[in-house]
Amino acid sequence: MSAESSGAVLRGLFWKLFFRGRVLSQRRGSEGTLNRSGMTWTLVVYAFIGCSFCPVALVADTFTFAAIMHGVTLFMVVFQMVMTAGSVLFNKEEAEILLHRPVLPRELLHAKVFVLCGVSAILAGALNLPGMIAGIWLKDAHWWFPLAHAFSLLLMIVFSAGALVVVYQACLRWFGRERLDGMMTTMQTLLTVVMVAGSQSYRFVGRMNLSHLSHAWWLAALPPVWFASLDAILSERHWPPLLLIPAVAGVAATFIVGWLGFHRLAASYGDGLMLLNESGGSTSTRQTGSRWLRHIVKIPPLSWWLRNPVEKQSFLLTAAYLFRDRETKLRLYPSMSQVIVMPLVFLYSGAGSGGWEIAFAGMYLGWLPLQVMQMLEFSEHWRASDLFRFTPYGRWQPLYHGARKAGLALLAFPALLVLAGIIILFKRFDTRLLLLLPGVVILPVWSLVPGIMETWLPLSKPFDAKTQGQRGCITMAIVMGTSAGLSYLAWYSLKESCFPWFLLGEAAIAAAVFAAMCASMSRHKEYNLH
Amino acid sequence: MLSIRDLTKRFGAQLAVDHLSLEVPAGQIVGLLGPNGAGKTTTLKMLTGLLRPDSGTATIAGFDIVTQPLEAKRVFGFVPDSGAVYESLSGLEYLLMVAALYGIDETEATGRIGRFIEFFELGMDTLKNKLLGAYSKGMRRKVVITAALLHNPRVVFLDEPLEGLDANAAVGFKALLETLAREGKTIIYSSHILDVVERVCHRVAIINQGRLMVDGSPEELLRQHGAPTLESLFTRLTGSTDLEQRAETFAKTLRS
Repeated sequence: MSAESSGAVLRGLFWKLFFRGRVLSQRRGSEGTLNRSGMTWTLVVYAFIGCSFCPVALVADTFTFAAIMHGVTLFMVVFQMVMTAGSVLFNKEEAEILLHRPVLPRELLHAKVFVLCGVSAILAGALNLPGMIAGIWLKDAHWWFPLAHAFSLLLMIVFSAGALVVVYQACLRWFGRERLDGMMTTMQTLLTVVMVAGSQSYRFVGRMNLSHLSHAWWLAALPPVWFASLDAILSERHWPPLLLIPAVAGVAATFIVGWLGFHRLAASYGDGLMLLNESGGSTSTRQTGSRWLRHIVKIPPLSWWLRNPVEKQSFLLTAAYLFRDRETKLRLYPSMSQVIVMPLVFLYSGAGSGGWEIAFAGMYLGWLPLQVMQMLEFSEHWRASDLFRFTPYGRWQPLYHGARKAGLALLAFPALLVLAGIIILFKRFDTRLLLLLPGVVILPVWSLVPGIMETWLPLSKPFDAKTQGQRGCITMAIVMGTSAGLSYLAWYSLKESCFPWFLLGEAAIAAAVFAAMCASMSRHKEYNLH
Repeated sequence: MLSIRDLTKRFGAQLAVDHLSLEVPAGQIVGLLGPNGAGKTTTLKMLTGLLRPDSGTATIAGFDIVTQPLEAKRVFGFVPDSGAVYESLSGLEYLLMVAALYGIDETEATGRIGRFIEFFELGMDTLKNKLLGAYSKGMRRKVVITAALLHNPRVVFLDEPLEGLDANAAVGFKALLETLAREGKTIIYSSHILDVVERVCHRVAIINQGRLMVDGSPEELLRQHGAPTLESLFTRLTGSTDLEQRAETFAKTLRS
């Protein structure tokens, strides 16, 4: 069989797998029927969000408008791609299905990247469609702005996919098996930070029009600026020649990472898949990690906090996956970095404001425990959670609280400390920074939300990018909506000099809500059975 | 048909397979026996291109698995012990996808699949309409075995293939293996179920700690080592002594 037709078979396969999800055993009761409405619903949500930047077309120039659209796409669509790429490109179980078949690793890689790009293009299309239509009414653009934007959007997706593949291949080439998992997580996290920070470039662009690019040369280093420049060159009536620099940089960067990722380094993809199959190796670091974990749960205050032995074991189980499991780390840390970077962007872009954006940055932190708990529900080893169903304990709440406490103690609070450190290091302290506190006070409440929505067991579901994307949108809407209200109240109370009273009131309400949520959770006694 | 020379694999400090050599002619069923962690699965993963050997060579029907992977992969079939499949495909979709990767056109593949499902007593309706995630373990195993044999391979690697199969299917499968061997196919059967290996295999290779301990027909091995059964030879070679005494001691600890 020719290589081309193998490629077509693989593309068809991965396309099907994306839309159906990879694992369906939990749906056995319904004889494995498929939920086909999931993607439609996601597209509707994305299109709805896309409508929110349509009014900008009436006031902004082509470049600024395109930079906003590219920024939001980078934040929402490409971020999803980064999150799922690790498990799609390096799926251990898949090696046992496909690697012994007559298929070239290069074909496998190309098919996977094709589908990743295809899915991202569909999502980006839904997100950008309202803006592309609104773009027809841009003051300084030709009628073909939508076509120009579609082209630059496609280029940005190829660039992002290429950059991801280059990062992974470079890790494979330069680091051995022992360091591979850690390096992949670090690189993916760094890539997420760059993407999220880059996606917010429109905040700066909006402030300093790109005609001032000569004074803000660093803007030309941000991907949304590259591709927005391309939009402007292709569709604006009179574009400043300076835009050629970022536009050429974008096209060149796309070609370079594309050539490196899909051609030059593609041959080593098979080596990476083989490395995944190596189950042995040095275990000394892992044993040390295990000892460290077992030690800290015996010391106050953790020992007081984890008096229930089931909670303690759930804490240890979760902690083990947080620090040792490749798949968990690849999903969790990049998503966390997003939650840490965004408040920083708010803080810095709100430097000259009255403090509302600082308050909102604090509230954004609420997403952190929620994100952690949502991610900790998924694992490649979800079948092992049957253990909780057949042991005679009968209650899921201690398992939830153990995992929740691990998420808070080992991830959320250290992340807050890092954030506080960065703020203190780079930003002069002023009283407006107190506006971050309301966000911290409400953290424990947000950490209970997944337990209210359904009975929750740690690591008990196979990861499904579609479901996770929908949940992400819904929870983001809930957190952001509530946070916006609270941020306004916090900002107003500081302005009216009654902030301590506001904080006290918020703490009292948060405690009451927390207690009510715990009580509500304890009423759900049944486990979710497959 | 299968030639393994000095095949070696290390995982860090641990030597998983230690200079393993084996020659298997066409039409022979070889049982690969060994305790847990002996290196059976690692050996099969190297032979099927899932792992790269640190040293040594393996050729399948004359094709080197490292330097001619595509040619080698076209002539063998593999049933991995994990039984991994894409759970969101129906059984038929999965088998047609596998057939396409071996260059078998859909009409031809559907005919072959029909013959297999008749043999395994799987209904075509189930295969068409039910997703693999909803299959029982045994049904899924039947699909994995079908996927390994669909392209009529010259060499078949089986890693614990009977796991999950019911007694009737297991008996039928063992008969199928004998028929395939008579047709000239080479079969490497890795298992730790000794009586099945003893009954099905023409030749047994026992490996322990990555090294080949003995290799020969079951009768020959029993005669050479003066062992009454394959089980006693296995426990003697792999160092598992006083098992009954240890079981008794363990049971006592449970009672106390």
